[in-house]
Amino acid sequence: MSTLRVENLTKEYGDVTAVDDVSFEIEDEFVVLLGESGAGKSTLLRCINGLTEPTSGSIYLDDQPLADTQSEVGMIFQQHNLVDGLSAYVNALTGSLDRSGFVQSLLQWQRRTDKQRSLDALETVGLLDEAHQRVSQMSGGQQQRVGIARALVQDPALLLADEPVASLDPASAETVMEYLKKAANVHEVTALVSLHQVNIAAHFGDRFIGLRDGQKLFDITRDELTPDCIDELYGNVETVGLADTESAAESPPPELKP
Amino acid sequence: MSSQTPDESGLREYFGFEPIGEAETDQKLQELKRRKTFRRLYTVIGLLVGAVFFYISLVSVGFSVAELVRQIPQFADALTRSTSRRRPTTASRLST
Repeated sequence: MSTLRVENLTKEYGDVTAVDDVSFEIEDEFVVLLGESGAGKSTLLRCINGLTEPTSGSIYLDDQPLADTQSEVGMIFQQHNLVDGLSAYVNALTGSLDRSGFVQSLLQWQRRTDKQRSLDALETVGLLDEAHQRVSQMSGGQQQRVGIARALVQDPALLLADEPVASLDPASAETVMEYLKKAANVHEVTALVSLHQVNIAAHFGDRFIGLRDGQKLFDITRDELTPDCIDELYGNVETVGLADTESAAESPPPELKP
Repeated sequence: MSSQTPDESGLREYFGFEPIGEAETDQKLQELKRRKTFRRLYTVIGLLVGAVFFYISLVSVGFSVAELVRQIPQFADALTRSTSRRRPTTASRLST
């Protein structure tokens, strides 16, 4: 179990302020970051993971300052970032690279405990039977689950996920989120996940942090997440609904402007 | 009582022919080890078959591996001259 504390974090890219004075603390929770594209979710996650250096502010994990990339922080990417030619097992095993030497990794001479941990992680995400399969032959949802397994093999204290289900169909997205939540619970890891799909976020999140234009708009629990909060975050956007059959048949299809 | 020595047992376990444990993950690890053993075996067989075909083809044209080794300096020399002829030098480029 671990505690992540972010204090007055600001990240500027030239004149643009991507993250503006954001502070929060999370402890043993499954927290969802919500916000429009460009709200600063990915930048915030990259700052926490050490992939981007913040302009100002501090990040602490269990009261230890977080700087640079650390094996204590596991990251799950939207595009999976797996090695296509390798099996799910070997991809998961790459999560132990910081604990094994170059030659050991090259020849797959990792310790038995790391190998066992890889298979345990694959079992957690429901892919033990497919462990020998190449990830290039797997579906997007399965690949993302391998990404989760790889992050678990790292044995992190904090799990970050940057839009892990953005490129998946609704059914696969739900499956991946179920496994992600299960992984966080089973391995007792604090998780911070950025999501676009509000319904999925509401179903899986314990707590929600809303970002708009780089600033923290709200930090609420599931009970406090109301449609008003969502409207405030995304604006009163009317999404395209399913047209009713009669009116759809009557109205001509929209023409695309050249 | 097993007649295998601990070394034999360890070797069989390394190559995936000895059960590691009862758990599903242990069984999967054994299966992965066995798969790796077979993959290595097929690779070695493939290399051996390739080497045999290479040797047969050398013999059929009246060549040998020893002769091939002796020819390496000439081959390297010819290769160097060929590449230097293709690449125009700065001086030759300036003269044209």
